[in-house]
Amino acid sequence: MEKEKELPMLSVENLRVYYGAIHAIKGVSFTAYQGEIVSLIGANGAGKSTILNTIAGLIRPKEGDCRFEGQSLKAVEAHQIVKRGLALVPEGRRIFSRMTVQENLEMGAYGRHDKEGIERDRERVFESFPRLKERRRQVGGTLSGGEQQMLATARALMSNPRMIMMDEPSMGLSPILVQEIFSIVQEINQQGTTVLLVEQNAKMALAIASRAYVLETGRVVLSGDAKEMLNNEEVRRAYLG
Amino acid sequence: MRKKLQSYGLNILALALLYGLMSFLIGQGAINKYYLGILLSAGIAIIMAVSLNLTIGLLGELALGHAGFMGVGAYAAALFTKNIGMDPATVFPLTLLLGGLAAAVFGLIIGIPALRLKGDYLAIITLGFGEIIRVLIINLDFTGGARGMRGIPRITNFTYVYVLVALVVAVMFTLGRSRHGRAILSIREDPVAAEASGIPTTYYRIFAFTVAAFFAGVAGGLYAHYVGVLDPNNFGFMKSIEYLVMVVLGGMGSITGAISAALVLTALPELLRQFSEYRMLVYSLLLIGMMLFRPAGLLGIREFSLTGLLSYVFRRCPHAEPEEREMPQAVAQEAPPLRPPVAEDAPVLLSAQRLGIQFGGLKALTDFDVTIHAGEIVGLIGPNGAGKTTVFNLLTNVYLPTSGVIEVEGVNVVGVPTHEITQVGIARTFQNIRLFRKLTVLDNVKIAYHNQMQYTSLEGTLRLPRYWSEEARANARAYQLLRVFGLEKLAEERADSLPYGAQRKLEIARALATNPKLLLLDEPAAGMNPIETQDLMATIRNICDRFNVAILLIEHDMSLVMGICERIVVLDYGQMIALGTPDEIRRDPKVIGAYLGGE
Repeated sequence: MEKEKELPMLSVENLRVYYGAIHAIKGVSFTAYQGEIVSLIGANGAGKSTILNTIAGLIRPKEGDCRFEGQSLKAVEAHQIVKRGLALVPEGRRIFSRMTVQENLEMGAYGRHDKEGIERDRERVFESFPRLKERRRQVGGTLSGGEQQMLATARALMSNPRMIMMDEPSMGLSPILVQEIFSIVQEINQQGTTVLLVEQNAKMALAIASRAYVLETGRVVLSGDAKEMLNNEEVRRAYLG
Repeated sequence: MRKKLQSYGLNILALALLYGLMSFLIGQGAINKYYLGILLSAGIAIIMAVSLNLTIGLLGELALGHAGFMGVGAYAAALFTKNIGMDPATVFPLTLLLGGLAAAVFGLIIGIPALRLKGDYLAIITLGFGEIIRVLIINLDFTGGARGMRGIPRITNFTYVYVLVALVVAVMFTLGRSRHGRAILSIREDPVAAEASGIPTTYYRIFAFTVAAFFAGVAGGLYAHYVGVLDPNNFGFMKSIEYLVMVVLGGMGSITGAISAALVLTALPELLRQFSEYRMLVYSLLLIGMMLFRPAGLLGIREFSLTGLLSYVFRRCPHAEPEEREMPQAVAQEAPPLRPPVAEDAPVLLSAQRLGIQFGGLKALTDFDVTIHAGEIVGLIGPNGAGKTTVFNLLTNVYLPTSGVIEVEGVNVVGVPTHEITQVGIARTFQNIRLFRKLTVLDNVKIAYHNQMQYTSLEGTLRLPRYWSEEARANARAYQLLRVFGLEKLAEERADSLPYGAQRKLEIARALATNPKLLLLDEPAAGMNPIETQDLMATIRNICDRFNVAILLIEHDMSLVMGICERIVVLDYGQMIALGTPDEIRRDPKVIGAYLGGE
């Protein structure tokens, strides 16, 4: 594939993470190229969220490294990683529930100082999420689950990232909203943002991803083209039901 | 039980030996008056710290007026001694009891209004209380005012202090490991889940607070008859803080931690006398250092146990086995059936009519009607924010409806407190798992048995026969229930150490332990992958048959909802838009438009 020749946007190399004595991630490596949607799938406790949190700088790995656009993130603090253009939409949304929608978005742009750019991006996210525009003065905690997921996504977009990592964006959402969230992910991707997607809803994740990695208890057990994986008998049996 | 009694015997023996040794040393003069003084102060401090630990460590409420209760007890006891007209030494136990009761009355008076409030309010109110006590004592005549009260006979001796410390500590241990103690712990862990498991949280908040005040009063009585002179300033805010420091330093929730911290912090200032004016500086630095390097305190929430130590030393000693180990075998034979079988022809279990609630101007739910028959599985679906969880909160009376009635087997249950809803026969789980995280899996389930045990706090504390029989029964039932969910091997693990799927199961097990007729499940499959969801479906069907419960479940996973629900209710914007069988719902254009979307 021609992708292999370019430098990956994100490369995770032999990552090992421990929680105390528990060996959570046991040497995981993967890559994401510019413009891709890459999906990590696997059962609960496989370590998907841990990987995203480690890349985002919230957890420190014991071994291994993450490189974003060629530069090591080893000693970079979480807020600096966001400034470099790699944003996380955390699991469970984690919006600032006592701040208004608008304030939440401003927090997303905290590391930026280009007033016009921020203004432009705010208009852009309001365009993508008209519901948030209607509720811009409402306190985050009063939004419904789907709206909160949109807010968490919009907040991450406000840092104007070149790559966005989404941790189970469909969790707790109604089927119709799940469809909406996935089409938003695709839209974000079409506007040029690389996406790393962690999902329980493997079927839908594989349907929109270009490549995918299957994780099992802290290891990558399978990787490849997402569409091929959708048809892979083993994957079907283990994750698609 | 036999092992438990052995371990009690061992502890009592050790206590008696220590008492004999100490008395001998004091009699010989090996412990001189100065050291004896430190010992007695330390003993009184231990009673204070251990009793405050009940409020702060076990109940999880910050109380800042503990020295105030000590003051009440000290003055009450001293006044009694001075006015009794009998030999004060012979009635001393009664005097101490009176001091404790006086403080307990004050505890009750403060506790009833203050503990209805949550969080920081209690801290502020108890802070104010401590100061009020101090100011009152200064301004009243019969207390001797600011000059203090003098001439109190010095009756407190080593025996009194030693016996009382042992008693108070023993009571804290036995109370903590009874259904009442578990109820108190469950409030610390999660008051909402505690209510939902049938624990009357306000009652137990006040209970714990009052018991703590009682023992502070006893300590006050000891103190008054130890120093012989009472100064109101000794019961002020700073004193309360000192006891707070002991609890925090020892590790909040650990009784033995509080004991060691009380010992260290009483002895330390004396040992540091050679540093004269730098004494307090060294003391403070030590405290800061402690907190930096051991933020959970000396012992965290662990306890030191003599039997544990012995078994550690003599590895294969018969006491080595923790008592719970014997339980699993005990289960199989004697576990009674979990609930009596219910008649087959499915009568109406729950019916809600015209149920509605408004928050300010927002109509969260209007005219909601639902009927659930015994043993049925009903799904409740709808877009996010449609009011599904609100329905659960109404059915469990977390919210009071603005209109409508809820009847369980024909009886209106609107207005029944949440903790009594379990007795009506409704139990629930939560959207975001709400387990008692730091407690064991077994205790999580046993807390839900609270109302199915009858022994009183006195019976529990004194370990009377009813305690043993009911606890054994609860243990057996809990293990049986855990086995249904494949959790029995994890019974001794902390709930938060369980993997996600097991935590979801434990929450369902806990809800089932209240012996419900109707089980409300709030998004049980959230965060599960399709394989886990299938496993969950089988579990739900299984418990429905096995425990003869009806189930109302909220869920977004359509494979689960369509797969196991006999009927489905669809909500949108607080209104019911459809009700029917899975097939009817799947084809309903309104549901497709609002919820399912096009495939």
